Amino acid sequence: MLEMIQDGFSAVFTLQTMILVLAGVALGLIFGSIPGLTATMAIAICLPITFGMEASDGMALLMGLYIGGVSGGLIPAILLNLPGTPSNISTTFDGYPMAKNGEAGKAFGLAIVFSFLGGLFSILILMFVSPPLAQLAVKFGPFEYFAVTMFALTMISSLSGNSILKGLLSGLLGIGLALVGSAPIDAYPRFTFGFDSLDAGFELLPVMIGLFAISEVLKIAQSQMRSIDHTNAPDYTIKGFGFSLAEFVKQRWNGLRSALIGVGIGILPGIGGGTANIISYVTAKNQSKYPEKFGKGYSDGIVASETANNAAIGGALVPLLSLGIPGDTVTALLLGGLVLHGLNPGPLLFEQNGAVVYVIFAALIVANVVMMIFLYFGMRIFVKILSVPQHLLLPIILVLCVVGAFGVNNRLFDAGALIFFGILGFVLLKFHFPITPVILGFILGPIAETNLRRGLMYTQGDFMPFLTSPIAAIFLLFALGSVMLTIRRNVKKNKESETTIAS
Amino acid sequence: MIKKYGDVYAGIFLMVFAVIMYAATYSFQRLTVSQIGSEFVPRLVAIGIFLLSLLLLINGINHARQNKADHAAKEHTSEPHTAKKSIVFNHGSFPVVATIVLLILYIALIREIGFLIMTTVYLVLQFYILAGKSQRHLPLFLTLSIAVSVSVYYVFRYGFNLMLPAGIFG
Repeated sequence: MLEMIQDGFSAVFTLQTMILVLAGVALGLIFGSIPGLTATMAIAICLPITFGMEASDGMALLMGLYIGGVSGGLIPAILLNLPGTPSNISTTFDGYPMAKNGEAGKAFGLAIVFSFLGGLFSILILMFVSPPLAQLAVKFGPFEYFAVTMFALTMISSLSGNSILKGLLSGLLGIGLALVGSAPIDAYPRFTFGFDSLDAGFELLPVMIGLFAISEVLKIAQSQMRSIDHTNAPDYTIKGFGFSLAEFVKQRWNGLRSALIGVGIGILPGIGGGTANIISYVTAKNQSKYPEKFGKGYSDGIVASETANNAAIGGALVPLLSLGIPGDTVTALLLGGLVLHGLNPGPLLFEQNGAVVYVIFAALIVANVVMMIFLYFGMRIFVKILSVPQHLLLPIILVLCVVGAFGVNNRLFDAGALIFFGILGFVLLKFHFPITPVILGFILGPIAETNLRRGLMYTQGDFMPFLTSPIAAIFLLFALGSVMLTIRRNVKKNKESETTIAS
Repeated sequence: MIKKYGDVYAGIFLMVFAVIMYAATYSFQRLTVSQIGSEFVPRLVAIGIFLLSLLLLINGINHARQNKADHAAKEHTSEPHTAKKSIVFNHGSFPVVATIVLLILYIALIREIGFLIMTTVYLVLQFYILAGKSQRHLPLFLTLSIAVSVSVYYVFRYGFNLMLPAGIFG
């Protein structure tokens, strides 16, 4: 393993790959720092660019974007009280008050250093957990695979969004969209309605870019364009790290707990950095001796939020790399990136393309360091970029989306599909349906169907082995349990709101 | 409207969708002799969508009723403010509809007219749609549009070997 890690690093430390990592982090930081643009969008736009690259180079770029995209959001969160991405919501709680108290430098220092530490911690966990997990998963047959996919699908549907009904419907819609085109096993063309262009089904890339990037741009277009006013942002200076060694030592338990929370939540399918930072913040507040200080510019709050959101990165990559199951939107896009490069995501990835996996690990660690350096020395530039008006930025992003979708197969049909999925995503958002389950249904549906049919071919139509294989049974039980729990929670919530209305 | 009856509309639409989807599976042919063929999962999905959207519809109707009752109770005490809401909605939906129409035209015409010209035209118009009245600045829009389309064209054509439609220049 040590040798593999070494090979990974030497692959990253070539001029071309290094430039890609640097560019990825810089672009990610820009996308993360501009509210409304997220890491998801950055990856969606850059995926087509990775086409012409070697798989390892492409992955290096995507990892840079991922790390940068999650980290960049701390800038507007602290300076402007605007979370750059959902991962930075609770950074604003204490970051902005600190900045107003003239402690912006300290807030940045803490946020940057603990983002780095949280990220590093989770990457190390990823490196040690995912290879053995993949080895275990290699033994999975179609029954186990079907069960794990069902588990991931139900978890995602029930955890994302507020309504489990809409989450499940979104997931089913995603599976439905993936049914278009040749069926697995017998390749019968389904739901093509005679259009040859549909024979291969919808390409993953236009579906993802349309659902995430285009719909998001349409949403921003609707909600009154406002340029960000940063004239009254507090000024700041950083001396050294912005905080003393004693202050750092004081945060060690808070940091460790937040990192653990981040990794744990990252691993669970369906939730990621957006949830991790809030749970970590609330936990820090509940465990603290001085809960009343939170929200008024307390260092512990920033540490909790920023450690957890970066720690979710490594966590979210664990199921992706070892099982081929994405846990959130960003990892879904990364899965798309792997597939586009002809890599076989899942437990076999380590056996067939081990080199690429270790390049991913190395790129993550390097990108994490680069992120810290960029944020320290480039802070003023990123703050400037925040003031680029959105009405200039969004149209350019739309053009890049169209070019990217067109680039998949050099055919305009994919660009048309992109617009279709953009509108679909926007309509879903308007009707308060979560989008993440759609994309995961789209990706996981075919995997589930293939394994179901393959399994039934083994058993000649007998469903029982799906329940008698212990691993499969456990995951199916988990799947059922996660749905039941959410239903119970929803019913409880409804009852509570009804009683408050009544009283 | 969407706020009040959104779930009702979504439920009805999805139920119709599920029925069509289920009906379409009857034209599938069996190509293998296995127990379940290519129509099995689509039917399962269609049934799932149908049942869940039925639940959504029932929930939606209950909510709409409750809202109506609440509203009726409120109207006695305070002024209704629904009129104001619909104005906001109309104002907000113009940029979205215009953006969608513009995107469709952009893609429909790009092969004939070419990437460079269409992208420049598209960008200028799109800037106009999204900019506020005070932010409309034609010289800036024109320069930026031309700069973006030319640089994207050359970067993708020579950097990533992607043949973007040349159109009337080609």
